[in-house]
Amino acid sequence: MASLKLEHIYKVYPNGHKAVTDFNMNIKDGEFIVFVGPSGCGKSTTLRMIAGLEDISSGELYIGDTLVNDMQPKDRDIAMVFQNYALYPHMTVYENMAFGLTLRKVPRTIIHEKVMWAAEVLGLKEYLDRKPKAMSGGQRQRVSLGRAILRNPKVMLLDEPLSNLDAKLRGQMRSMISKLHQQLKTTFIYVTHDQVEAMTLGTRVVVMKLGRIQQVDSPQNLYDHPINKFVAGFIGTPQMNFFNVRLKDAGDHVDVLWTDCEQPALKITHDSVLKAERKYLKGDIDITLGFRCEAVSAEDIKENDDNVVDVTISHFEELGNETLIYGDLKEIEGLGGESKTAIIIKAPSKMGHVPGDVIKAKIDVSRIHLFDAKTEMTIIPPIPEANVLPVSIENEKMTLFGTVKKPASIPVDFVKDGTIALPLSALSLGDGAIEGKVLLVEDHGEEGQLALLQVEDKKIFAFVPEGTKVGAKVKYCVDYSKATFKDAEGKLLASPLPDRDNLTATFVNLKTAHEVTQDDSFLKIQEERIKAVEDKYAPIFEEFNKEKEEKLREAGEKQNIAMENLDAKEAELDEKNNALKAELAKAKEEYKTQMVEIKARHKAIEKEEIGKIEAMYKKMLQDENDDFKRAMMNNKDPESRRSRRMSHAVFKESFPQMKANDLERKTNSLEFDKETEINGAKARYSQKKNLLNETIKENKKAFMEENYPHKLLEKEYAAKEKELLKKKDDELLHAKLIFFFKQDEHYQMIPDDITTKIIQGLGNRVFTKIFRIEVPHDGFVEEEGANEYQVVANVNYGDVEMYKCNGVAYGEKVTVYIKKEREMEIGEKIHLRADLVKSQIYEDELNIRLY
Amino acid sequence: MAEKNFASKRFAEKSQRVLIYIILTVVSVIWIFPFIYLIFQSFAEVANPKSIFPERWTFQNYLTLFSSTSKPFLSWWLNTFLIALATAVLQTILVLMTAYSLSRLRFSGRKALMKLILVLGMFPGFLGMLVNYYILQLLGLNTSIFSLIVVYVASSAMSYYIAKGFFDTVSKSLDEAVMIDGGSKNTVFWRIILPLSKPIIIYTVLVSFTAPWGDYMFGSFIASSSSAITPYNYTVAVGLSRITEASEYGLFCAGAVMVSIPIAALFFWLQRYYVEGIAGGAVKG
Amino acid sequence: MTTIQYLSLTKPQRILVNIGNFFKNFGKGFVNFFRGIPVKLLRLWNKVSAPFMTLIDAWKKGNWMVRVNFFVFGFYQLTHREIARGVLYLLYEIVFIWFLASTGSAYLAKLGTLGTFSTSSMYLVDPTYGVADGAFKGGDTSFTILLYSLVTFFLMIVFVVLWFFSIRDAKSLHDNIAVGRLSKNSQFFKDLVDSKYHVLLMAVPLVGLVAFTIIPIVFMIITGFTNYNGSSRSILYDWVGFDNYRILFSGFGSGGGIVSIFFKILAWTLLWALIATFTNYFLGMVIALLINKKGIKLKKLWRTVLIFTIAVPQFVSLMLINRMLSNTGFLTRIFEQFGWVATNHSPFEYKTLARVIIIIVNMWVGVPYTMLICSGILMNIPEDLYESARIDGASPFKMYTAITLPYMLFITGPYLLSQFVGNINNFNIIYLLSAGRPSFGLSSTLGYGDPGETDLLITWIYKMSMESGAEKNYAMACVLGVLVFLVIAVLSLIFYGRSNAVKNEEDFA
Repeated sequence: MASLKLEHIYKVYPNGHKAVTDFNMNIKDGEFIVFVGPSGCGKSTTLRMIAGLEDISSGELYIGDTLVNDMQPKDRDIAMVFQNYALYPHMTVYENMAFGLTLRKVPRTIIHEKVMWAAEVLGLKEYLDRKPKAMSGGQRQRVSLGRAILRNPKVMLLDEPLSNLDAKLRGQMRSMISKLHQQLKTTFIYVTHDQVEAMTLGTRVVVMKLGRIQQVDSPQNLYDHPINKFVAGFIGTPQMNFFNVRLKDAGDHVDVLWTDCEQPALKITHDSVLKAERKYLKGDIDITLGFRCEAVSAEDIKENDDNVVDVTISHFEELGNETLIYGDLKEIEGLGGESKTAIIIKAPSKMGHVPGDVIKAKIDVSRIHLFDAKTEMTIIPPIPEANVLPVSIENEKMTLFGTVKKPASIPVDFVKDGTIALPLSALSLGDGAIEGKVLLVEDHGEEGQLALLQVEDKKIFAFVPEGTKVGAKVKYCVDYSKATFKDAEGKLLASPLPDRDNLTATFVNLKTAHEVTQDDSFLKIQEERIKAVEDKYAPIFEEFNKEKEEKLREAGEKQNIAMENLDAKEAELDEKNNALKAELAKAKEEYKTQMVEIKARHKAIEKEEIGKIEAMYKKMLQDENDDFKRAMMNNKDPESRRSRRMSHAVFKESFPQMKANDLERKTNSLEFDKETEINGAKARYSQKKNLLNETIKENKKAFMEENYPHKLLEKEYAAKEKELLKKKDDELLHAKLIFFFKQDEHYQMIPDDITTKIIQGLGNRVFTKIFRIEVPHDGFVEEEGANEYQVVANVNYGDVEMYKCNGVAYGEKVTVYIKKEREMEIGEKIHLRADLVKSQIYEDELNIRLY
Repeated sequence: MAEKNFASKRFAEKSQRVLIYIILTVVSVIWIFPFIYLIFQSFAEVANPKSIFPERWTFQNYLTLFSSTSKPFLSWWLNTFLIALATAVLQTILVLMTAYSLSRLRFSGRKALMKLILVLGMFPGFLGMLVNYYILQLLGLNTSIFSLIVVYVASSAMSYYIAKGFFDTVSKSLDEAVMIDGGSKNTVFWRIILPLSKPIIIYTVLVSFTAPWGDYMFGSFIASSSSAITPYNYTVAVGLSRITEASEYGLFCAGAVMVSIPIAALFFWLQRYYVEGIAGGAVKG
Repeated sequence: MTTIQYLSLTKPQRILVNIGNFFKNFGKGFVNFFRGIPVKLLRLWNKVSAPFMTLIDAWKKGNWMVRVNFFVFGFYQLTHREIARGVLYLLYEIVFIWFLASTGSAYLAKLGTLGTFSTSSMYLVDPTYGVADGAFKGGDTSFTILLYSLVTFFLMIVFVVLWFFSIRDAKSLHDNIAVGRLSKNSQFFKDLVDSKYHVLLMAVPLVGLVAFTIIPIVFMIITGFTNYNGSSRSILYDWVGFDNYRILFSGFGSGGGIVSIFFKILAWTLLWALIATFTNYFLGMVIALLINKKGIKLKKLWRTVLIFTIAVPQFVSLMLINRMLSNTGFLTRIFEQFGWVATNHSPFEYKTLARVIIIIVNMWVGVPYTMLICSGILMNIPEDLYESARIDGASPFKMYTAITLPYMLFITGPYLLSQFVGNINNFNIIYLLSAGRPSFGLSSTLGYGDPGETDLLITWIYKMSMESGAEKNYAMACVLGVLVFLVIAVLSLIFYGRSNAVKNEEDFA
């Protein structure tokens, strides 16, 4: 049972094709995750990367909390169910299931127990002796499931396990798999292209397209709040209806105008599109309207209802409990091929309509989805990007939340009813300039509580602390550096300050750093680390040796006592083993007689069965001939005589073939039963034989342990000591290894965990790569000897104050914004270095994030 | 009317079938005739090629065959049998190893190696015989007839083709299943692939077992060029070619019969695998 | 010329278009080939220069231990927990140097002159050896010099390759350790069984292949440049450069009419290979069709009878047929009645008769094999092809030409090519039956064996180099061997190219 962490997983094939791009996901223990998407979207590749069958181009994969990137599949403790079952054709079901454990040298008895348990759970009890080819698709799938659960792995991987089964069986197997998941509580990862399986099985579903994650959410959220048009279209059958529309703000409500047909506009409330950006309401941006077939109804439509459209019916699809009415908002010319205004309506029955009728249909506007036609992203995101508010600035005065003195460093001097986009991250809790009254609160799980607040005359969205009630007052400070200013026509006036500054660096080891800087402080650090390791191990060794002496002394005494009655003990051992050996011989004899008996019995049955068939056919032939002769004698009419002669000829023609087929079928089935019985006997005998050999070996081992403890113990301790030494050597080596980021002239030591992450990603090519360190504004630290910067300007963004500094790195000008820690004058020279823990490190060329 | 077509159709079919039977019997007679001739000649006392049937039947040829010291047929037969057995075992292992790694393992020089083997096949073989003999001398093996085994087995990598065709048909997901179950590529080869490839193993054993019986060229070359090899350690093929040189045809026929029967029996018993191997291999080619 | 236009043409017009395409593709093939050369050269240059880059890089960047590796193999591995690999490298270095010192260098030195003291002169009391008792002192034998130096040369190649591997391996180990990734010795054995399993599997077959196939072939090619007439293996001979080729193709030189014989035999070899391959193939297919016809019973019997001939060693059955065709053989007596053969003469004295007999006997030997293959393929032609054809009202013959034949030709394409190559080198049939008779009557003193009308290149080579008694000319035989290879290589390229041409025949434009 383990959690799974995938960080920035990339899969790039040698020919440059990016199969999986930046796959990030945290899977908790016991979850049932489903990867779903069209074929070629990278879902199977991701699964195979988790299994270790394909190597990971970059990024980290943790199972439990161990890094498994370079681990062999067999060491990852995972199990996999293949699409084509991948059962070993020459092994019986029992051997197939037990193969994994036999490879891992698990004792026979435990294997036997586990296989019986798995067979019980999967209902394969009576098939254990059969070969896979003698079983149906469903049974074979259950065997491969059994093989997987037998190893109670940390993670269960299933690669489209049901795609080769027929519909009914698929239903049964689906419930079997979910039952299994409840029972085992293992983490399941299931890949499928069938969205019905995804919706029914998954606790969380990952929809993928062209190697990228589109949305990760519970099935219900995917169905109700698709993040883009692709997810909306992919989830749910029949597919969602899509229409080209435009939104127009009509004062008290918003009109949804159809662009492809002249139907009356739909009316939706302002609140339902509150989170959408205002630009969408101007009616000049193409939007895709989507709603499912159950969100439109064709029953009891009153005269003056709004949101009603006329639909000309093209055909019906009756599914028994309900009917799907296929229609179009415009008249249908020709077969109505790819019409942009096609609509599907779910109705209880045909309701007496006939194709060609024009009916009224009411659309439930509370269940519609609106996507930007170009980006196909929803315009009502669960958590909006930013609050877009009208703003005007005039000679140092800014009217936004009421008029207030314009913060000095906003580079805009004059704008008349322009817009300001304030991202949610710009509004941080604290007694800043603005205060809002909470109108409503939405809970978004990990991401926090989103609230709609009333500030002066405007409404904004912002995060509020846990448990804030509606109506409470919350104070915020605003970081205008993150805002974007646009004028009335939408022309960009000021773009937000990047929240991170980029520094370039190369990766250097201690030797080169020391050679260049001749700075002995690095060597001192190294000595300290080595000494730390030495100190750590000294007590461990000491305690280890003490324990060893004491144990050996103890064993020595025990040995002397045991010496006296040694030969008695030996005799007892021999006697026990001989009994077992005799039992083994008896089992062998029994097995042989069983074999002979089975063969003889089967030969008798076969002879008898064949005899019966022969007799039957002989009689049939006899009757036919007699009947033919009789018909010939007393039937004079030439016509019927000829037809009788003809049917006789046909009978004679087909008779041998029929007999041969029947015989062959009979022998085959008998042969099959015989083989199953023989396999059964063989399996039972081999189990018993292995059991007995096992116990004989154990007796000998126990005897050795009891009478010669000294020798065994010594061996054990020697091995332990060797292990300890090796561990110490490794740690020493790691202690010696210190690495630095060389930025221009300055060498900055890299903490160990970041180094391991970087080396993990790039291996020994690390020295040849260029790195980009993205440092947040508050991530800079002043330190003597670091790179030199000159303070150029003081930037005051309302509640947040920063200093703009310019420096030179690798010959290029670099501007950096640092949070104001202390007073600095303009033109002052300061030395800054990045605080690596707070920053993100990217490998520049392939733009892959390492830390 | 219908009945007439039915009858005439059946008549045409019947006559066609009779015609085919005739052709087939003629073909089988042509193919079997040499062996019938061989058996008859082996019983002829005076070998005269003129007539098919021997004037006087005698069992003498077989007696001299097994008793004569100058032509110790029995020891020839045993030598060849041992050589054939050793070659069959060793060659099968090497051929399967080469075919397995060329078919399933991906490594850098794979395609180049396959092309190389194809090109090497184009050279006329026996010019290298002289050199092989000297290489054996370099390795100090040229004094015994059993060094033939080394030469036959050494060239086994050349005949990987049909076995590779078979391995390509086994699905890749079996390998992956074993890798996940905890086995190494070695386990895949020995515990999964080999048990599944019973037909191709038998085909390879059969082909490599029958090859030494028919190779008289290299055998006689080694026999003639090293004094240590006495008639006692000839192979059957070498022995028989010595007999034909001395033109004792009756003895030759007897020897030929004694050689053909065991191999034919083996072929008859394993015929199914041989057919599968050839049909499978060539089709995959 | 779109496909529709092509289909609208009549049959003869289509054939013309196909021929035109064939040559156009051929031309296009050459043009692409030449245009591609600069790109190929560049890629080749990168491939060649890459190893030197790594060596320089290893020397510059690696520490002193890596530099020692340039001289002592596996030194770095041994000192850094990679004992197994280190030992293997070191072992090979020691063995190679010992071999070079003990035997290799002596022979290499004499390679230039291919030996100065011939063993025969040893018996005539040579002053330098000062021994008159006639004891055999073992002078130089050019054959062993050439062979041993060739073996040493191969070992040297392996030495250089291993030298490069050991350095590259040391450098990557050095980088890994610098980055903190330690390697464990046990990993070597684990890899051997898992990721590098092919090394373990291919080691023995490859060594066998090099020692007993590649070295002999290279030796054969080299001997083509000497005047080794091969009467006995302990004589001296020297390099003669391309003389042998000149003699063979001069036609006027001392060899006399040899070049005309060469082209005659080459023509017959190609003709023979063509006829033999196609007769076997079609007869085999016909018989397979007959046996596999639906209503025919006793299928197993017919097949077993034919397989019987494969079971019996070819050498035995051919000797037997030879007996039947000897001067007094009963088959010859039948030929006498037909008047083709004078009494008490071998049928192999008549050129056309000999060739026809060989083709028929070759059919007798080869047909069962092709029959098996064709019946194998027939069995898995999808049945529904025939059913749909029957519904469309195709006659049995039409079904054969429209379905069976194209399907068979498509599947057995590569097999046909390998059979063709096999027949060019088909030694047994010719040598054991007609042994090349009727001969051209070339005097044996010239050392070109006794080539005859039915001789293939391969049997002529055998006569020149191996046949006991005749005046041997091993070097010329090697030259012929190389030429046989060239012929086959060119032909298979064309056939292979042809099947490529077939592939892109669809785009008629």
